Amino acid sequence: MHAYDVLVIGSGLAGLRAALAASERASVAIVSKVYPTRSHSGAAQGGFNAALSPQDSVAAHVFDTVKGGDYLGDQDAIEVMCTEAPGVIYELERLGTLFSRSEDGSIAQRSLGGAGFPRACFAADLSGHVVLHTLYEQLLRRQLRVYPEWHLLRLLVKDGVCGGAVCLDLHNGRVETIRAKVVVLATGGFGRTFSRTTNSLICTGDGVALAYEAGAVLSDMEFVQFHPTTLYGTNILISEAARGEGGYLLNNRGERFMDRYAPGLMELAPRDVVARAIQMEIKNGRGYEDEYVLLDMRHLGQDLIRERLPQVRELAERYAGVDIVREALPIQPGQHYSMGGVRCDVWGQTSVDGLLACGECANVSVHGANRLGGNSLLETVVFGRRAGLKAAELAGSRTLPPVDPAAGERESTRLAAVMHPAGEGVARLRRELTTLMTDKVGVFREGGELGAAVAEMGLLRRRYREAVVPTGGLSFNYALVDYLETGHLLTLAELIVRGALRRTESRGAHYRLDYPRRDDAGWLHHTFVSRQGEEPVFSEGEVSITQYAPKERTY
Amino acid sequence: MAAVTFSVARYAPERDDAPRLEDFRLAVRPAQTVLEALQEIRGSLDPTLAFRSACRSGICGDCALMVNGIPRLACETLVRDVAVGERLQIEPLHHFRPLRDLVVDCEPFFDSLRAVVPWLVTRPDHDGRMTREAAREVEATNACILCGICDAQWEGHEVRRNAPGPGAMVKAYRLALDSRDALGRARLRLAVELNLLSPENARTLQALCPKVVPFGDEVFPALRPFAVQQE
Repeated sequence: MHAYDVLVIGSGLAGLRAALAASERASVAIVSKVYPTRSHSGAAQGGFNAALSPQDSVAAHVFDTVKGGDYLGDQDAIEVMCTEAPGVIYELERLGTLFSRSEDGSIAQRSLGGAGFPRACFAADLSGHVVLHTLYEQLLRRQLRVYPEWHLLRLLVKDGVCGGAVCLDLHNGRVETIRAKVVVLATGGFGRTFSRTTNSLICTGDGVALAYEAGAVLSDMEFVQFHPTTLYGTNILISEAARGEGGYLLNNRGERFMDRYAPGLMELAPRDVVARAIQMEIKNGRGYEDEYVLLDMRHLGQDLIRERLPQVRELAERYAGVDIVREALPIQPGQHYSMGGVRCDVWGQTSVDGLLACGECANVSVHGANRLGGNSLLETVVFGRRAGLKAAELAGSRTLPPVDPAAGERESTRLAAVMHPAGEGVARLRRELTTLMTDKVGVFREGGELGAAVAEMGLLRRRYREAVVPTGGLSFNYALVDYLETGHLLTLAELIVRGALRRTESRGAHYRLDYPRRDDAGWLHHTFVSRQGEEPVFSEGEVSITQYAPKERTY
Repeated sequence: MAAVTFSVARYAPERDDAPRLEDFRLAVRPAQTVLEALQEIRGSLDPTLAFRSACRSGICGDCALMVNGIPRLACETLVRDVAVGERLQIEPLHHFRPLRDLVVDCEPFFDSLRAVVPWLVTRPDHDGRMTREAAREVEATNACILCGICDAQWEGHEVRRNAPGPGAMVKAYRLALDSRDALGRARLRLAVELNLLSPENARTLQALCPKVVPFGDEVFPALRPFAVQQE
């Protein structure tokens, strides 16, 4: 048995920032399914939004975020994020983050989609990587305890209070219980619910699914961001920076088709708008092979590409065999970001006492119905820090909450029961689930298809209950990991689909062909969902509107 | 493309004294990566095969392993580029302790960073500015993803706690070159002691680095005066 003041689950930007903040006043441990530097935050390319320039303003950043999220974001939380942004950027810079610089030596900023000003601080196209490594250096400096490759099995909640977690140590296969006065979830998104996703293989929403099972309220699960430019074939991310630096989108007639969809911002309209435009072109026969369009960066020239887009060039070359200096790149939309997550306030506090959440696994909600590029990295450091501070504060005034002493044993028994030499594993089931999500719950949605998806998911769930892990032994048993992750994906996919079916309007990234308009009278509220018995129960959550009443959203 | 035979190292400490090779035959698509091939082996031939993977796009370093005796990222390596006579040998990273199949003990590698004071000791007079040139000087070493490939390649090396290998030295270089760092060039004493500055050494490591971190040709000139001074 291990015990700490604060247990952070997840070691990406949000988790590390939370752990560092909490460690100033509390004992802290981090549990993560990977080594910290291998977290998915490292793949983020574009940048961190912050109104640093005297010509820019926090108010403008707030407005762009509110409008970008199609008025579903909570404006009080957005104000917190945008106000604290400059401070956290300067703090990261002092800690050693190597931001790209402008001529005068200040931090350079670039344009990303949906922003009225070049507001994203960046490090070439390795923005997430450089900050992840900076925070990892700080973790070494503070000598924080990390339990790497520990997988979350269960959150310990007793009488409505969270008091720790049960984990699987993949190295030796042991089931371990960690008690804590406060638990901070920072487990990232759940893009692997979709077959076409930019997300790392590890983004299976373990924390969100288990928080739901432990009774926490989730919010806005139906809002899934599809990134406009992912590599055709592998769906590896091609940064929005490619368009921020001036790249064009072309259909099979060589037209810059964005002028029909967003004549003002063109390729730099928000992601939901651009992803729909691309999908519409493909749907109407103006794509290639009915699958993709082209991202053309040839006119940017070799020097700018080398300086600002080195990773984009490398990824295109390696995974598509395309040299972007000379050829246009085949791209298609793919799942990229989960706007929904564990509902929490601006200090990370969820509906479960002692359980906090931050980063992509959380829903504060700053992104509303559609996240802007440059706001997710920002969210991780702003709200990671806040969750860490709050966790330490709470831990200072409470003792270790009681937990069910048999919980660990129950998890061991559960795992032992699924290890069976004969029977179906989860590999095929997982493929069917994620393909179903891409086919029926993607950029364009429709009531009939969503209904069919709900029905199919019931069948998949039944098969999952019969599934086995066809091998003995718990040490580095990746078939077991696959089994656990598939369970989480099933839980979350069902909530995404049901939420999408309920919401009979189109808002941000959620687009219903049968309800193509936004409906503020009926749907200007969050979709809350929590588990009662085995069933999800949905309710309406109020949206905080402080300054900006909903207006029509055009670009 | 024709079928390729993957000779994959298998090792279970409770069963084997040493790793042994097991052959899997697989029809390989054009442009299929070694990681995708391993996933297919695990998915349809042997669910017990243990190997790590995460980002599948060359930014996390989790899938580093030996392909035909050379350390590489499985997700960045195309089967057709490395198969020799339709055969391919996959082993765990050299110089790391094998734990199971292709999974090695990474703990000592990450711990080895501690020996080089692996964080920026910010100069008290740093005002938040940094010239473009100064930033550019650090950029290439800053791309390191801590995959461990250089440690697996460095001859005679054994990855140990508190024994900095090339991976830890890249961190030291990166910080030593940072105009905001108070320790600066003083960080390089270790590098000199390790003889990592030998141009030949550096060229080999740079050639294999997935991020083409300049262990040698670009960084070496900046470090040379210091190296000479130490001798």
